[in-house]
Amino acid sequence: MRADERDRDRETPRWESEKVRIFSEYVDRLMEERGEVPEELGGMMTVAAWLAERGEEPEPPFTRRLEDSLHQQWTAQHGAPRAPRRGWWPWPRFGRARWRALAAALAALLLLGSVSLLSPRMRSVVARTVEDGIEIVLERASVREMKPQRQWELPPSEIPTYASVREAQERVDFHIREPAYLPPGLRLEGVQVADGSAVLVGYRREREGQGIELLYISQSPVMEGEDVSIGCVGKIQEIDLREHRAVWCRDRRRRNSLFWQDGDLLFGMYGTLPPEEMEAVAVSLFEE
Amino acid sequence: MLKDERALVEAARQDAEAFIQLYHAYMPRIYRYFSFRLQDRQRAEDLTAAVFERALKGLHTFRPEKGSFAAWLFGIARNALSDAYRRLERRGETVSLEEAAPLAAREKTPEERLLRREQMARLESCLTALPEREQQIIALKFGAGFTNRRIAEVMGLSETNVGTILYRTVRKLKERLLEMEEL
Repeated sequence: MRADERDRDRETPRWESEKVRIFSEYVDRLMEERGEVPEELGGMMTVAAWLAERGEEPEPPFTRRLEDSLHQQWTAQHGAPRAPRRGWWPWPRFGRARWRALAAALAALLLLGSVSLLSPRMRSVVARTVEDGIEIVLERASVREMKPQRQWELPPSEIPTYASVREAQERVDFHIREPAYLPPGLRLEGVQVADGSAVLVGYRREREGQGIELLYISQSPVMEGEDVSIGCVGKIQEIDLREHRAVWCRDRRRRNSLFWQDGDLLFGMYGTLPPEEMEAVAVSLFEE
Repeated sequence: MLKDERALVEAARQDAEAFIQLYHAYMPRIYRYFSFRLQDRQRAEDLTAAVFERALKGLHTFRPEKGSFAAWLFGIARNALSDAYRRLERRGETVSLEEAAPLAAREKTPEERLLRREQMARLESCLTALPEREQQIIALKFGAGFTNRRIAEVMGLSETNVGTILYRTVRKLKERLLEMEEL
C-alpha cells in the first residue's frame, strides 16, 4: 500500500464521522422544520452527533514516541529491519527479469501511444481542450500529457465544510452557481472551500446513496501559471452544453464525470446518477 | 479494512513493513477507542502503546482461523481497558467530568462552551451508566469508527444485532438526557 493511500485510509473514518455529523444535523434541522420526522429520531441524531465528536485524535509527539518504541522492540525481537534505500539511485533496484519486463512494458506503451495518436478524434479533443485552457489527462498510454502536472484533488479532512452554499459563498470571490434543477430526492450534503478558489458542493439522495458533486475552480490563483489536470479513465465523449464544449468521461472511481469551462471558471461534475440526469443539472446551472 | 489483511498479518510476523501497515491502519482507531472510553489523553496514549507492544510481542499467537486481526487486536484493547478500570477502582480514582469535555474549546462563546460542557458531562454520566457491552459497542462505533460488520466481528455478534443494539442504546441515551434536562 502506498503512503498516500495509507494516509487516505487513516483519514477516512474521521471524514466519514464529520460527514455523518454535518448530514445528521442538517437533516435533523430540515425535518424538524417540516415536522416529518418523529421527534424521537430527531433527538437521536443529535445524540449520535455528540458521540461522533467525543473521541480525540492521537497527537504527533505520541505517535512518534510509540513508533520509536515499537521500532526498538522489533529490533530486539527480529534484528534490525531492512535499512531504507540510500544513495543517489531513487528507484527500487531491479533484477534482470524486472528490467526486461519494464523494457517490454515501455515498448508496448510507445506502440499504443503512436497508434492512438493517429486517431483524428483523439488529436482534436486534446488540441481543443488545450486551446481552451483545460488540459484533460487521459489515463490511456496514448494521450498522457507531456507537461508535469498537478493532479487536482480535494484532500477531504483538511478542508472546511459548510452546511450551505450561502456560507461558502462568503469565502470565495466568484459566484457559486446553484443548479436550477435537481433530480428528485437529491439534497445538499455539504460545501467545501479550498484556498478560496475551489468549491466542491455535494448533493446526495438519502436512501439510495446516489449523488453528485459539483466542482468549481477559479482560474486564479489556483490555476495561474500551473496546469491542473483532471484524471479521466477510458473513453471520453464531447458534448455541447449550452454552446459550451463539455467532456464526459469516467474518473478513477468509475463515476460519471462531466467537465466544461465557462469564463474564468472550470466546472466539474462527478456522480453516480444516470448521465441524462447529470446533464440536466449541468444545463440548469446556466439558467440561474 | 485492509486489502488481503490475512496475508499482511502473516507477513508482519517477519516483515517490519507489513507490521507498520497494520499499525497505521489500526493505531488511530485503537487510540480513539480508548480516548472515547476514558476521556483522558495520557491514559489513552499509555493504553494504545501497551496494546501495540503486546500485539508485536504476541503476533505469533494470532490464529486467523479463530477470527479477524481486528477482533484479536481489540480483544487485547478490551483487556487493557478492563485492567485500567480495575486499577482506577483500586485507587479510588474516577475520570473527571472536567476532563470529559475536551471539545469545549471548539465552541466560540463562553455560553456555548458552558452549554457544551454541560451537555458532555450529562452524556458522560449517561454513558457510564450503560451496561459494559453497550459501552463497548458505542465506543467501537463512535470512537474507533468501525462499521457494524466490523463491530460484529470484534464482539462476536451478528451485524443485525449490532445495528439494533446501537439504535436502542442511542435511543436510551437520548431518553436519559431528556429526563436529566427535565429534572
